[in-house]
Amino acid sequence: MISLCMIVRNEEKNLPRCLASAAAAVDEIIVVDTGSTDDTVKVARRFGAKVKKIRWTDDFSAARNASLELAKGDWILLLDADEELAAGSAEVLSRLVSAPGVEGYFVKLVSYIGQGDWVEACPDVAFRLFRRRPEYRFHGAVHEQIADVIQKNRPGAKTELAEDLVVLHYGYLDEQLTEKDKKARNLALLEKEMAAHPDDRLLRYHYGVELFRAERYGEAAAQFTEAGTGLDPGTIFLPKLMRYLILAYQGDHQPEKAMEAARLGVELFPDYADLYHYAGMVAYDHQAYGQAYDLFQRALATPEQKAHYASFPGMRGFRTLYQLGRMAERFCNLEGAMRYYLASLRDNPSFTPALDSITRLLEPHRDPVYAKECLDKTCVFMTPQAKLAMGQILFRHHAYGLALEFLEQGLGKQTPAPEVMLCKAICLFQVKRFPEALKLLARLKAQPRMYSVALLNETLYFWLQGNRRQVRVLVQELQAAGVTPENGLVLGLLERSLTRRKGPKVVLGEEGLKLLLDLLQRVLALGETARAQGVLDLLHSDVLKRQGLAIGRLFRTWGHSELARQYLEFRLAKYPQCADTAFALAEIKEEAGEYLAAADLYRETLALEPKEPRGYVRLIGVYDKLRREILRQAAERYPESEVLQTLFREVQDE
Amino acid sequence: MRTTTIGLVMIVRDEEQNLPRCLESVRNQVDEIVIVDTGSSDRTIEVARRFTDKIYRFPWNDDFSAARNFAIEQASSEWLLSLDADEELDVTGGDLRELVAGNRGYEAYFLPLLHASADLPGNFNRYLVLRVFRNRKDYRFFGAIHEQLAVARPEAVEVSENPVIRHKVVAGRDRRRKCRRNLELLQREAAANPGNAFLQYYLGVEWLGLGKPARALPCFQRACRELDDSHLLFRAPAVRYLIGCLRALDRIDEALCFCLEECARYPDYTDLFFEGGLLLEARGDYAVAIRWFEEAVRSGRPPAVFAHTEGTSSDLAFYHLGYCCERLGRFAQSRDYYRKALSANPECVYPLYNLFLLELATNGPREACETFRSAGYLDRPAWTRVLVDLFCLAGFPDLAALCLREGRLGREPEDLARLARLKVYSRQPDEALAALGRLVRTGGMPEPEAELDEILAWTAKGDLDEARKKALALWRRSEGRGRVLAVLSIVARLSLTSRLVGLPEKHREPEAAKAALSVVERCLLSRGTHLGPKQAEMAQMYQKTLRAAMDYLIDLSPEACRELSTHLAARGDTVRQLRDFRFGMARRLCP
Repeated sequence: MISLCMIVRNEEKNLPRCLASAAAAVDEIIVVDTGSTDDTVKVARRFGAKVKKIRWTDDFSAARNASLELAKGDWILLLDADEELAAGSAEVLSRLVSAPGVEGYFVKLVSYIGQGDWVEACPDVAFRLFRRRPEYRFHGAVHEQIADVIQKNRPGAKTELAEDLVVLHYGYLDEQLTEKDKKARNLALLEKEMAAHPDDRLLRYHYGVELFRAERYGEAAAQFTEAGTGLDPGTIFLPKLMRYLILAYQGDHQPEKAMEAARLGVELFPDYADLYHYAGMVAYDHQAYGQAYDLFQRALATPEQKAHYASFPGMRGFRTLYQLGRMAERFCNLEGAMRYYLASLRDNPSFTPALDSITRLLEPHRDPVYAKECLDKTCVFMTPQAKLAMGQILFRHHAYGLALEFLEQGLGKQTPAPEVMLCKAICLFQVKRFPEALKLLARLKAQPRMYSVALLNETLYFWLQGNRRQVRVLVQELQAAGVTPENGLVLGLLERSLTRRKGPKVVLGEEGLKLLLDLLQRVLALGETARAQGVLDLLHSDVLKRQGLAIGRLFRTWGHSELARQYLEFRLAKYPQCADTAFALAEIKEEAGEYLAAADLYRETLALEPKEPRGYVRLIGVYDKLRREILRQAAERYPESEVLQTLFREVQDE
Repeated sequence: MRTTTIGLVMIVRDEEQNLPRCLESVRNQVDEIVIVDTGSSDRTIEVARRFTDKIYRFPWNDDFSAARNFAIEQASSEWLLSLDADEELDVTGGDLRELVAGNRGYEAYFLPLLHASADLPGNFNRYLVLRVFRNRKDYRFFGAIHEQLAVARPEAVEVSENPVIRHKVVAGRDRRRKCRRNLELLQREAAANPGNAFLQYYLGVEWLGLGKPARALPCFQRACRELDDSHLLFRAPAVRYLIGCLRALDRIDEALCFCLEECARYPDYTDLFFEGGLLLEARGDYAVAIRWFEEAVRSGRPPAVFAHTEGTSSDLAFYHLGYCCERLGRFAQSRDYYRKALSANPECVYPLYNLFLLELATNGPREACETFRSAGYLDRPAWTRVLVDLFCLAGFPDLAALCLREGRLGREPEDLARLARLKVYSRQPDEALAALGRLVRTGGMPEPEAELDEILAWTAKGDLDEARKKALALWRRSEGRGRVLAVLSIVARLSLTSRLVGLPEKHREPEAAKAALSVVERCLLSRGTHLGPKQAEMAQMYQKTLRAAMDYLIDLSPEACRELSTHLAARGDTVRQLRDFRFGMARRLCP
């Protein structure tokens, strides 16, 4: 006979799902209510539960024990209201409780996490099924425990892991954990308990987890270390502790210690994917790419993860593949990166970061037709949500026409959220369907939150038309609505560029530049290069030098390599230590066939950032190209030389 | 108090260069010097006369023993020391007179012979040789070559650690000439004494000296088989040579089997563990090789009777430990070993090359330079020179300059030339010319490479007329005209006004190509310290020069094209090597 024991408060929404899943599998249901103000009790009674109301005393164990007191069964099954038993659990349960000599079971607990339409399942284990005995009672106010009590009462008692009994947990979807006061409350309670039970390692581990969640990483690491030192390697929470330890050290900016923890961890649990993945991340962040690569490969090679590892989704697949893709990009290997991103997306079609990267690599703003073809082959955009999401990704990568297509398909006839509407308006604007764009912007203006941005887009429209008067009117309107001084300066720049009025060069700060670059990117996308330059001419040369890299990249994105080169050279003369600028300039020179100048700059990059691979990779590439060119000339010059002809053929094939 | 008298006996021919050092080293150690000349045509006798009047002539009859025995017969001292002219007696560890005075009934002594290694500076091969003996009628040499002294009772022979005989480094050409001569004599003698295993050993040594391991192998195999442990003085080196032959012939597994057997037989013989390590390293079994090298380090110097290469238990072992760790990706350990190797034998700079690459790849050029500086590497001129050249070749002339400055080099002509080259690499032609000026003022003669640097410096300054003038001045000399033609051509290509210089005659092509490639190298590896506008101009000048040199090479000959292509490939490979060092397995991510 099995008794389901629960403690609840205000769970009228969750409780039916939970009780419906368990009703047929257990023989009695005990519900202890700690002060619900909704219909929880009524729901419980509907499922035939025995209900008892008690006063909440800030003590989970007390409440749990109250439920145990009422139970009559030989076995106790614990569930929380936001959980349910997976289908087919009745048979599994009856098999488990008839096994002789077992005192209790760890069962598989699958938590769903995420928000919106991106949900992932994280498996873990929890001690939820055990024989009812009067001496088995919970202790611990926050993380109530009972498995250790069983061991204390019956040394050597057999507890087993039952991976086929699955409990599904929905609680994290509501993001209750992020509530700050709850975290603080838990920490305070745990500290009190720790003082009373300094030797309780499980308690200390839980305390470490709470510290980690509160982003107090250094303290968390110390607690994990103390809880884990000398622990029996068979301890069920040790693998997770090791993972937390790596993450805590990384959070505390101690990469060496994080790597040390990872080394220790994989020695104990050589098949635990998460340890490799997170150690890989630590190495990656510290530019130890060789090590990172190795660790990621190991993560991918691990077998199916044990339930008590609570392996995070994607550690053996999409997440690790995604990181390898990022790394391949650092090695200037775009094809390789694409392969990793595609593999990542195949492993988890709803993993948006991979889709975003794939889209970026396709450079959809250059060749939208080809990009669309590729994307259609990659994904099946069945649902409107998928289409909307794709549209927004394309929008971010400046493929306005294509983005518009996806957005329109995704929206159908429904009225979009204001943000999506703005996206659509800008897309219409950028494909020069101005009347429709203006109509949408006018509708957006009705929303107070969107008023300024809509107005700004209108301003941009009249500015492009060269309509000075209208621009002035709109700018005044914007200022009346309130703009920051920085953004005010940008508006002033727009106005002035139309008048050719002389004036002092303008100095912009971070905020103003962000807006300006955003606008310039739109202007360049529309092909209005001269207008963009007109605005830049009004900026102070210090600003141009400081922003030369961003401006240069902008021009390059839209195919103006010569202009890009000027801005980059301008910046490099002032900031010779900027590896990014040297590299960007080198790329332009390489494209122009100026291999020697490119090699010079790649060497500069390499000297400035010896830990990054791009300088090496590109320098090798330039030497190869140079050699190919020399051999081509040589082969032409000496058609009779067999050796040279062969050499030339060889480099052509490389 | 009467002291025991000691006499030096030696046979010489054409040794005017070596003789003074040798005789100087024994000046206070012996009471008489007997020199037997076997037919010198130089001033050997004249030199010898400064030290002794007991000089005799003995017509050479292809028999070393006969000549030596003749020398012994001329000596009247109670004890005799036998030396060759290219040896010296080193008494820093102990006196010859003390050795003889403390004699307790021995008849003869083995002394250590330290043979300086030509390939490994600072390392010695250590053998025992019987060179000190009582002057008695029945102690005579036998054997036409590698004459041995016959002492009736082996138990009357003692091994002494001191004094030490040092043999100087023999230049490759001299060594080969001597090897051929010895080989002839030995073959004749071996034909007469087919059962003599010692002769087989000596034959093997000569074949090895001529670089023919396949011929040497059967000799050593016979020597190892037929000599027993009472002739360990010969058998021990024969074992090592045999392993070396098999390794050279790429018969690694066979060598390893033999090495294991002999290790079991002589567990104290350090050199065998070292040899085993080399074999495993050649097989790519780095992890196992590490254990063998560690064992060599642990064992230390073997008992004197084993022929021993100094360094197999220290710097050489450390070097190979570093290499094996490097191959296994244990870079930190590898670095430590290379450092140990260098401090164990500062004269041998090879580990510095590996260390340099490691530092460069793992920490980047700047940090690498700082590491070398703070670790005191720049306090040694020899190391500094290596580092300067390496930084230049890695494309960081600015750091090379820093090393040169920190190491306070620059007084020697060699270093002034180095400084000038460095400045050419650094795109600072004015400084390069200043350094060359100092070189000439201090009386140094610019080397061909330095002359090239001077012309390149003028070119970089844009003064093509001066560059041409300097080149033409070199033309007056008869040698090196191919080089001059190449430089003139490159300069002409840079100035649009002047007419083109013709291509050199066929026989001067290689020289011209070499010079043009030097220009290519300097331009390709050059790097300005700042990216200012003036440097940008300078960079363009270098690029133009590079282009001109490459075009010249293309016009010169198909062979020159191939060399240029090889040169560029090598540049790429250097970067590849650095990249692979740096990124390990992640190199698979490269496009």
